[in-house]
This record gives sequence, C-alpha cells and structure tokens, in this order.
Amino acid sequence: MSSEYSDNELIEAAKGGDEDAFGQIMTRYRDPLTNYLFRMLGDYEEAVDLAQESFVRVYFALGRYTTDFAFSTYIYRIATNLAISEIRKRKRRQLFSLTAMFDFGDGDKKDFEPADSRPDAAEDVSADEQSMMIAKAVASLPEKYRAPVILRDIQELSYEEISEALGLGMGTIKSRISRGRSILREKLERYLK
Amino acid sequence: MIKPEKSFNQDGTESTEMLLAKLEKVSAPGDFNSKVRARIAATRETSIPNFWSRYRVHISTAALTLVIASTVFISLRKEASDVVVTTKDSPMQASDDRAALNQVTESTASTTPTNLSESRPNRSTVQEEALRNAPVTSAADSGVARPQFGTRPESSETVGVSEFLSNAGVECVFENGLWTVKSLKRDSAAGKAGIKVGDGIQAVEGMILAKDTRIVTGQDLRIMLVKRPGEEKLLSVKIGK
Repeated sequence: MSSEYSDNELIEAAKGGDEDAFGQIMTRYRDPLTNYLFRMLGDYEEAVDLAQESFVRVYFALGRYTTDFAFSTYIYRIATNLAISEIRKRKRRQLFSLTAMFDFGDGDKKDFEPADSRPDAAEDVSADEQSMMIAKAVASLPEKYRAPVILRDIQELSYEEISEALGLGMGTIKSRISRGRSILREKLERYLK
Repeated sequence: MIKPEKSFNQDGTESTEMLLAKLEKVSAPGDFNSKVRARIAATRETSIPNFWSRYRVHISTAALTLVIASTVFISLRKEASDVVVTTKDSPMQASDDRAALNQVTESTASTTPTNLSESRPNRSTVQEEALRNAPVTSAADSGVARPQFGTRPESSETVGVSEFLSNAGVECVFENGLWTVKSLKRDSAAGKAGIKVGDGIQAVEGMILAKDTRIVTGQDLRIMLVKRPGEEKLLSVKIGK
C-alpha cells in the first residue's frame, strides 16, 4: 500500500488485517509522537516506550476505532493519557522515596530554577544550553498547561485538533495555552531577547 | 496542519513560541516498528493469563457459590429421601422397593400401547403396584427393626400408625388390610391435603403400612398413598414433629 493513502484508508486496511498498512501508520506518526512524549516527560527512553505502547493500544482497539475523528488526534489522545499517567506515577514515587523525605527545602526537583538576572547572562549561555533550559522550562509546566502548549507550539497542531485530542473545549484550550505561555515567559525571561 | 504564527513580542523580544520552535525535534529509533510488532505479539500471547488475572475474583466467587449451592441441594435431597418408617415385623428394604418400582415402570414402557389411556397406568397405580409387589423382609430376617435408608438414628422415637395419623388430624382403624379414615379434622394437615373419611391410607413415604408398623417421629413431611373407591392419590401431608 502506497504512502499517499489517507490515515483513515490505512486504518480501514489495517482493520482488514493488512499489517503493512499498520506499519505505514506507525512510520507516519512515530516521530511526532516520540517528540511530543519526549517534551512531555523529558526522558527519551520513556518517550519511546510510551509511543510504542500507544501504537500497541491503537492496534488492539482498531475494531472500536471510528473514522469520525482524525487519527492524528486519536493517537495524541492515547499518548497524552499515557504521559499523564506516567507523570502521576512519578509524582507518587517521588512522594514516597527516601530522598524526597530527606530533601529539605528543595521541594519539587523538577521545578525550574528561576533565571539568572545578570544583564549579560544571556550572552554567556550557548545555544545548546539555551535549548536545555527551554526544555526544562517546558517540562516544569503544570500538567494541565504542558500538553496544550507542546501540542500547539512544538507539535504545531491547530486549536481544533488540540481540543479534539485533549477532549476539552476550544475556550479552555486557548486559555490554557495563553496561561502556559505566560508561565514560560516568566521562566525564560532572560532568553527572550 | 495549520502552523501557528510565531511573532515577536510588542517590545521586540522573541515570543515564547519562537523559543519553543528552536527546540530540536527528536525522532523515534530505527527499530521502532519492529519493537511495536514484538509487543503486539507478546500481548496476544499473554491475553489468556490477563483474562484470568482480570476475572479471577469473579471466577473464584462463582465456583465457591456453585460448590455451596451443590452441597445445600444434595443435603436437601438427602433429607427429603430420608425414609422414617419402620415396620416392626416386616421392614421393607428401600432398594427393593425402588427396584420393584423400576421393574413395573420398565414392563409398562416395553408394552406397545394401543390405547394410551388404557394401556398406560397412572403414576399412583404404578407406585401402588410396585409397593404391593415389593419383597418384604421380616424382622426375623434382618434381626432388628431398623430405620430404612440408614440415616435416621436408631435411638429415634417411634409411634404406631394410629398415633402417627392422629397427629395429622386423622382417626383411623385397620380394616381389611388398610388403615381406613373414620374421622378427621377439616383444618388439620390431612384435611387440608384432601384426605376424606372412608379413604384407605396404604403407605407413608413409599412404605406399606401394616397393622403393627412403627413410624419414627421427628420428620416434617410425609407423603401418603391414599386409596379411595375408583382412584388412588399420592398426597403430601405435613405433620408437626
């Protein structure tokens, strides 16, 4: 089956047992999905693992999938749910870990440190370091702002697609993206030149 | 897919969107598809154990309920078939009684009926005939009078037929080989069950009543074979302990 087929055509073929069609769907979405999960979790291995798990779930739910919604939003929804579940697991682990018990004053380790306010600080940091700080800032966003901001500003999905993928109203999505960007702006003040 | 606009802020600084766009895109590893296929195959293989782990509580509960229900059912059936009639001189063997009943049923079944109503005797006639033809063992053969079907303890109290039937509200005398009803209370168990004056009570719980039959007390439900002119009836009569 050629790659010019639409997502829904490939899914219909996969439903009929065409393994090659499912392979094409994976090839089409594996990179954006891995990138999205990487930005959500900040851990590449975990991102790859959850991206694979997303496709496994899609495979076993093929019979229930209807083409009323775009496949892109469907797979992002599965990936988002897996990512949120993983983030919550991490929080629980952190809560009960011994290191957390003796970690006085530092609070959440994933919390982003405020930027250095020195006037020439931005000039000192390299591009790599800047990228790393931006990534950390994104990863430190509260859960409810993180997914909309990543889907919009990194994955470049439309508001409609984000609304469908996250199962939230358009107004909520816009407001969360706006609030998320505002938090990022505060965190990345020194890099906004 | 519509790409979001990335514009500078009003003060000329880069917007957060522009900063985020600078982030390098990561790609999936080359063996991504094959690993997904391997996971799909592994999930398929473990689907039966998953079913067990998901429903094990339900399955265990259902099995336990089935075992309890079976135990209760068996014990109730055993209790119902627990015959309490003993005959001082001639305790009949229950197995013989059943065998005789089977014989009659088989001989009836083997006969090709020409007229169903004539050639096929009704249930109570068959039972009566079976009871009449059943071999009888005397006390001399068995040594002692003992409860039949073996579950009633020997120490249980026994009463005579007259007293037993009197407890059911029936006054009887033994005439022409039958315990014949002379009077009965209408609101008694026997009256409610449909026994009438003049009926002959032939058997209780499948055991023919002789003049000197003794019946073990302490049983709630007694089934009587009642004979009246032109018909036989099998009646259930509940008698208090």
